[in-house]
Amino acid sequence: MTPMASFRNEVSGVEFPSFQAVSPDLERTTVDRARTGDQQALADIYDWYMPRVYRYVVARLGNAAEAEDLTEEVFLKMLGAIGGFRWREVPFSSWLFRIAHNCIATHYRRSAQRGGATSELSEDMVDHAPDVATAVEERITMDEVRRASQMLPDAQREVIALRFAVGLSIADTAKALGKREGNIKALQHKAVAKLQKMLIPNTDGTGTIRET
Amino acid sequence: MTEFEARLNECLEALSGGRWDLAECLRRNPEHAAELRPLLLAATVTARAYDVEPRPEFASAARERFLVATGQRLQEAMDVEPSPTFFAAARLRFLMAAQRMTRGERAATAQPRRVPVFGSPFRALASGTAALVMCLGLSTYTVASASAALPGDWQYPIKLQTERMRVALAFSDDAKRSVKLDIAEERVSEIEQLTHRGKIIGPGVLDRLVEQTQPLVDDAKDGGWDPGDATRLEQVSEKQQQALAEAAPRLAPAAQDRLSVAVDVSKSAQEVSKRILFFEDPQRPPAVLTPSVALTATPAPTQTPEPPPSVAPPSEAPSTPGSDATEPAAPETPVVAPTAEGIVISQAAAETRNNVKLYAVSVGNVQFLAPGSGDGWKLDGAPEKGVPALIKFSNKDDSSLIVINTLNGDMYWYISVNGRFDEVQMRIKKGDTVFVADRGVLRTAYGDASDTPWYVLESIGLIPPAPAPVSTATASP
Repeated sequence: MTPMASFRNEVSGVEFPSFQAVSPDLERTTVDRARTGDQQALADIYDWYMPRVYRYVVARLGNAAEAEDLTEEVFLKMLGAIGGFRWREVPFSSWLFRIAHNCIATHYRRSAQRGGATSELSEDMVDHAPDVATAVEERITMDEVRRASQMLPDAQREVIALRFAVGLSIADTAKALGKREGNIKALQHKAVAKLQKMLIPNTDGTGTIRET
Repeated sequence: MTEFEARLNECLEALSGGRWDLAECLRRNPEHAAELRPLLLAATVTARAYDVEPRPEFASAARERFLVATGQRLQEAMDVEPSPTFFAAARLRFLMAAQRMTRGERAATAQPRRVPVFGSPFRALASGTAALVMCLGLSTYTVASASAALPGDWQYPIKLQTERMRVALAFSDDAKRSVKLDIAEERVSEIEQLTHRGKIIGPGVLDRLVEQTQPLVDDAKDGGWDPGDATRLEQVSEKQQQALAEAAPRLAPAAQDRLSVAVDVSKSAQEVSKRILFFEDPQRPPAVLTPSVALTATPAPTQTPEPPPSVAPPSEAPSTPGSDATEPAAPETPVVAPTAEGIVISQAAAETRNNVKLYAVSVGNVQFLAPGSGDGWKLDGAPEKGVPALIKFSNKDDSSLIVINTLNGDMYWYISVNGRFDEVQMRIKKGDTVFVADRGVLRTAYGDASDTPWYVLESIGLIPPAPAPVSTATASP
């Protein structure tokens, strides 16, 4: 059985997760208030972004315990830096995920220095399975997906994390990573193609998944 | 960018924006449908794999910590007409926190320091606290109480942030180093407290220890450290290893593989600090003069050494090949002439220290106490006649060699370290001043192995020109 054989092969049965975005105007006014130290605004930003930062960190690390620590670190860094945020440079989300990106980079650097690796997946994460009946079956599938994405080159994994775990647009992803949009699209294409080969190897020419 | 990439991206943007579903993507791109379908499916399941929520407990606790960090919590408390009981409780907590800080200050100032060059940890904490209060809007109470927080406490991230601020605010490399050493000491203290309280120690605790010790090791390797900082690092690393050993049974499963990394980093810290202390401080009398000098490179005796003395092994130490200072000398020992100019050794132990029997030795201008064969020591290369310029004792496995200048009492100790020998200057006369090794430094560097050489060192004395031998019996020690 292929890794994804248990997953539904009916196209209509698979839904892309939706990302609840805050309206740009509300985000702008909130961030402006937060820059002046308005604590309610900071709390709002935390509530909006914490789940997405967490997903991003999980996507990059695949380790829930470390993801929790790093998620907190990202927001403490944000707290110290938000006074210097300027709209003319990047959107707030790109700026925030650049902080997250730097935290991850630092984390990897430290791990490399001590010869450690962080690829352990955890049972602590709460998956959004469509219903209880398929939860266990899908649980295995989701771990396979996470493992597969951990095998992508770092640049591709970064794009996948920001695009699919966080839901950033191509433009915002490009700004967060300091790359061009065309570059991001190419990385995205390569990453998705690799994931498809790893996850759905038995795909015929029509895109139909064959059971093995 | 290819046409296909553009279509793929258009579909992915529409999917993540919730505007299209997969079927709609394929319907709109019939010419690419076959190729798009598996890619979109893979992208979708990948996105779903990461559609995870943090654990509710973590989410709730982390939010609480963040709100505390923004100062909102206390702000809210102040804004909503707090009840008198809230004020009373808050005031009590504040006073207790202040008291803890005062105790911390007392403890910090009472702690003996070898070199008085360190900044006051409390002063540094106070400045860091002030900065944190200003920058982050934290209450003084929050920061003060966080200083006593342990991993797992809700204030702990505040404590870590305070520490980062302290490092950032330190105005010079020396000051930053001092703060980093404070922080490393704090990590050890936390592990000790967690162990003492029977808490399970998670991987983050060990990771932080590693992350905050390794930069100190790297910095120390780069040079420029003064002996005071090196001493602190050495003390921290020693405490770390002790704390880690005690914490080992209480490690969470996920922390098990971090333990060896933490121990390794700690040992690196100990090694580099010792190197600074013993090899790079020419002003320090108890210096290892030539580290890793092979034993053959020891100063050659001025008189031709004879073959090792033939031995009449004492009955209680028959395995010792050398001659014996522990027991009365065997009369047939041919090595040492029984003259006042030769090597005169007491028949009975003159003193016992830490179960080591020490025999009075008189040779040339010096007299001292030396260990005997009962404790595994032997006299090396003593001449048959006359007074040797240097007298040498080695232990049974030749890992330790004591050399004494019989003219002026200078003493060197050669100790095997990883197959090579460190040459340690134990006692040396420069002009009218006699320098001797520091007991604590010797213990730190070489542990118990330095005990016997130390006993010898302490006993060295010059004897008058017409010395009276301790005993007329002679022996090879």
